[in-house]
Amino acid sequence: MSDVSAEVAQGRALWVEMRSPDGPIWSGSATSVILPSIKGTMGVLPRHAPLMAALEVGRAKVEGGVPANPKDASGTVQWVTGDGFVEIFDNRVLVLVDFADNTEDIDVERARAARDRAKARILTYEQGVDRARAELSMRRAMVRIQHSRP
Amino acid sequence: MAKGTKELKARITGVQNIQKITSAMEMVATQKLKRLQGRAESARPYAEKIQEMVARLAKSVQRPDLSPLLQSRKIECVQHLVISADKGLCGGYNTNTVRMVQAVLADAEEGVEQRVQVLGSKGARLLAAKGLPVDGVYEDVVEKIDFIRVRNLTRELVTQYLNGEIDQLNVVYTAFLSAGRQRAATVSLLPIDPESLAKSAIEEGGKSDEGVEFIVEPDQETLLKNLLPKFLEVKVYSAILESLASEFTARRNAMKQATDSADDMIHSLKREYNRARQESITNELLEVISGAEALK
Repeated sequence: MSDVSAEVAQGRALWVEMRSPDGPIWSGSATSVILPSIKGTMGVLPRHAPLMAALEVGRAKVEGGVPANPKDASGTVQWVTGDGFVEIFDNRVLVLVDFADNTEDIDVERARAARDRAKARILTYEQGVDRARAELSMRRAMVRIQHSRP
Repeated sequence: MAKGTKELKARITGVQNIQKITSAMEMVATQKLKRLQGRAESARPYAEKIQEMVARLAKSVQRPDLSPLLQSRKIECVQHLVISADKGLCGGYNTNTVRMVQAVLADAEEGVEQRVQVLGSKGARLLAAKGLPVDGVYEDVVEKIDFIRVRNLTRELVTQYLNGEIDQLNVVYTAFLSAGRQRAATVSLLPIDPESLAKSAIEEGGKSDEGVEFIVEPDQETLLKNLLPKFLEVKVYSAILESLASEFTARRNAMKQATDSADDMIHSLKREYNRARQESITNELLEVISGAEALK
């Protein structure tokens, strides 16, 4: 642990923290981070200048990741993320997103089925809560399908 | 047996059955409360950081004209978002919320349209019973709430604000002050008061990143425009989580009280039953003895 913080302090590694309103997603050190900023995909390496940016729905990637919690995924880890923000300061990358699903956990077939189900529901429901719910699950399923391919 | 013991017996069984139900409900509420506290805890790191980012950006920008969400204007229509429960049997929780709404509406200025939207069907029904106008009800969403749903709800309200349909947004919720103290409260969410943001920025002050120039992408205006609605979403989400924690605390306490008073009732009923039983035995004995006496 102390090795990691020394490496981060010396600018040889990044400390990454990813959070969503439903809880922390991942934290640990990494050699680089790739994020879907609204101006385009953005790569972050150690010694990056202080930065705040808005993120859009897309794919986030951590390379050379060593998680703080040994149970979490290590190495190259990818997520499909909702929109959010990133703050980079002092080799620390703080990612705040609406949701983040590890791409390995995404079952494309299931997402496709969910999309089709939602589509069918949208066609039957009138405007209202159920309709909004169906639209939401369809959007989420589509994002998953779109971004889960390597 | 004498008259009355049978009825008493039936009542005791009845109260015991009710007690079983209330104590089960108490346990359920306790479990749900625990789970909710966990959720509130996991939401906190995100919420704190968003607030910090908004505060920092608002301080460095110092231009309320950047976003209409920061400007107050002439108020013609006020939207109240009331967070109540979908179910009853939770003590004064719903009633206190409704009373708060009544007080807020009574204080409202003349000629200003007041709109009330309610999360939770029980609160909506209580409000309607008091003859208060309810413009929209979100049923069955409070307990199953997740951030995405809150986000959509808040976005809808922000859009209404930006379109000029509403000029102010209040949230009536139940603040969770401590495990023993919850109170109905009203907070104004829109327009966002830039001064309160600056204040929280000062509280955040003294951090090592003070005075650091951040590169802002794409630009400060766009980032602020994205951050402010997110900030509101987080505010509404935490208000709902807090209300839910209050709701289940209230429900747990109500059910605990019900279980306790059922205990008291069973106790006094049992005493009455025993007395009646004793009385009938004494009577029978007397009859037998006097019968034996007469035969001598």
